[in-house]
Amino acid sequence: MPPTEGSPLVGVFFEGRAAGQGGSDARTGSLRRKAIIAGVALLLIGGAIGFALYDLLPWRAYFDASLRLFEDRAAMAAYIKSWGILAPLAFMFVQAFQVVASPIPGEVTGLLGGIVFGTAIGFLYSTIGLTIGSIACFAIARWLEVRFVERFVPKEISAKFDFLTRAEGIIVTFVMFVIPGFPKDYLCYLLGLSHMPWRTFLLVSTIGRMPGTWLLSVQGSNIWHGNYWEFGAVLVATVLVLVYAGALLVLFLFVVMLIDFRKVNLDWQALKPSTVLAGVLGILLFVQFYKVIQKVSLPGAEAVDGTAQAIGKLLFSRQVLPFELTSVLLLAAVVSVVVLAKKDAS
Amino acid sequence: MIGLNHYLVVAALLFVIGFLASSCARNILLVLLSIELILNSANLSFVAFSSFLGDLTGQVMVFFTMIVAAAEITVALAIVVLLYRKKRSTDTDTLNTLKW
Repeated sequence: MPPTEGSPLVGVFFEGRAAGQGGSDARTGSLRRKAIIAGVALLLIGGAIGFALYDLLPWRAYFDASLRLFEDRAAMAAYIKSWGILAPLAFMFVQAFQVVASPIPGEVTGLLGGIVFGTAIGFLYSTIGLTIGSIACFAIARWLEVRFVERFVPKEISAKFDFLTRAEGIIVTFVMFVIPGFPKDYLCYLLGLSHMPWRTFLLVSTIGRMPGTWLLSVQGSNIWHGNYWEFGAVLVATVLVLVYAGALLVLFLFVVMLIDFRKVNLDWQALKPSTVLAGVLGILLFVQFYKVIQKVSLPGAEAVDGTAQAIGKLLFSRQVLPFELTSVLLLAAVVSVVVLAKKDAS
Repeated sequence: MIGLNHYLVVAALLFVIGFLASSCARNILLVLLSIELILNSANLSFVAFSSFLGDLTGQVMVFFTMIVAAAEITVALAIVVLLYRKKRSTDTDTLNTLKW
């Protein structure tokens, strides 16, 4: 998009903002429309500026190179090394930028850190960069909230996000940060709009991001040392994340929202005899498992790649009968859920 | 180098945590979540064995486990919602109508 298209929109944008500042509550309808126009204009201008600057700024080459990562990693490492002492700084900047520009996925840059700096150092730099980026998102959202959101969004709606600042909300947020594949960058903006305190946000986002960052760094340094994905289970990994993060957790969240937790006792009973018994049983169980596992040793077979093609072939030839049976199971589940969910089911 | 045994130990840990949580948790949602944990520990060992035996059947099994888990969780959550409507609680200790 050519940047010149931005100029007429600037007029609309400022008009909308000026009207927003001068307007009274009586004209909220037209105000809201103007606010929406202003928001769209802001996005368009941002996009135009982004496209215009894309060719000029140094990170273009850096970023394009990081996307070509899998084709030529020797050249990539050489490129990063060519930054010399500035390489860590450049890497941290890319990590932070990747968070602020939310649609860019962080997985690629996380791998990059492991490839260039090794596991531990890459993890350190990634964490610093991600923290800076998260704080930037949070600050931008806070600023926007004070400037725009509080003025246009009714109090009742913004109050609905306040559950995020209570204890169980903080745990839910933390879990969201831990889940691999969850859009954490958008989450930072969302949390900036809630009334979560700075300190809590910093703690939750930094610690919550750490496990994923560590795994990416390990994976990256593995790639550098020549062993690609240790498990050739790409399809299974992708589908698991999609099903769990996308479907099951959303389902759980819906049910959690249906249930009023203020009335529910969430306390864990402190050390009942049954809890102690379960603990002892658990430890025994683990010891038992461990002893069995120690006996397991397999001659290393040659790696198989769990691509969609290979798994699909197996699924529709040798495993076709269980596959058809699962469809019956799913049908039964659908029917029973429909029956259960009907209002007068009981 | 991470070997097969490391993955199996992680799977065993997941299983034990899921077992402990499902037997100690008093909130029925937590019980369901820990059952997911147990299912996924099985998934992990399936994938580990599949990778170290060079046989893709283990990965196909994960798909079946996932389908069963999805079916189970949808039905279970529907039951949880119904229970909550009847009892106004998700505490497992209140579900004692089968006791005599």
